[in-house]
Amino acid sequence: MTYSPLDSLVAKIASLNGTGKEELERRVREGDLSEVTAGFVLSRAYLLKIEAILDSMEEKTDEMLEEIAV
Amino acid sequence: MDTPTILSIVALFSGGVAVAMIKIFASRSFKSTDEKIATLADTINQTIKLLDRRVEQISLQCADRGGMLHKMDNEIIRTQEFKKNIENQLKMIRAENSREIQLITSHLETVHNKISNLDDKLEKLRDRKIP
Repeated sequence: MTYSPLDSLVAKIASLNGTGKEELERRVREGDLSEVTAGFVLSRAYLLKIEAILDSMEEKTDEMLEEIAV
Repeated sequence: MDTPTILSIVALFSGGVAVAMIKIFASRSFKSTDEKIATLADTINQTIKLLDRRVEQISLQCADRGGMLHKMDNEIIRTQEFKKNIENQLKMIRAENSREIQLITSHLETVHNKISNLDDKLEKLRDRKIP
């Protein structure tokens, strides 16, 4: 997968405490990041969250399948 | 008095008058020329002074414009540097965005695959649960 210097920021936003969003807003305000890039970063973070949710759903489905098999 | 005496008196008198008139005209004429020359010289001097002042003003203006041109040159150089910086930033932003788009596409594919997987598993679960 392609490496991005914004990976850590994406991970921070996708994490539960959500401190990354403030950092993202600050970097846009300071002109370090464009609004477009900030939008992409947010989209990627939400996609990561969705992936995590899908993973946990799959895990639960697997457990249920195992229970039924027994 | 006899006629020749009268004539010689008249001649003398008219000659004197003529001489006097010539002298008066000559003196007046010379005086006038001197005045004219003096006035002309004065006018020439004033014109020279005015021209000197004008030359001084023009040279000052030239110096000002030279300074302005120098400032404008600097401004142009600064603007060109600014433009170059903006172009570089744009290049960076484009590169960054294309990388982000690539990553988002990859994440979308992952999500799509995960949803398909989950769909299959849920289908299995439904099949097994329903007798």
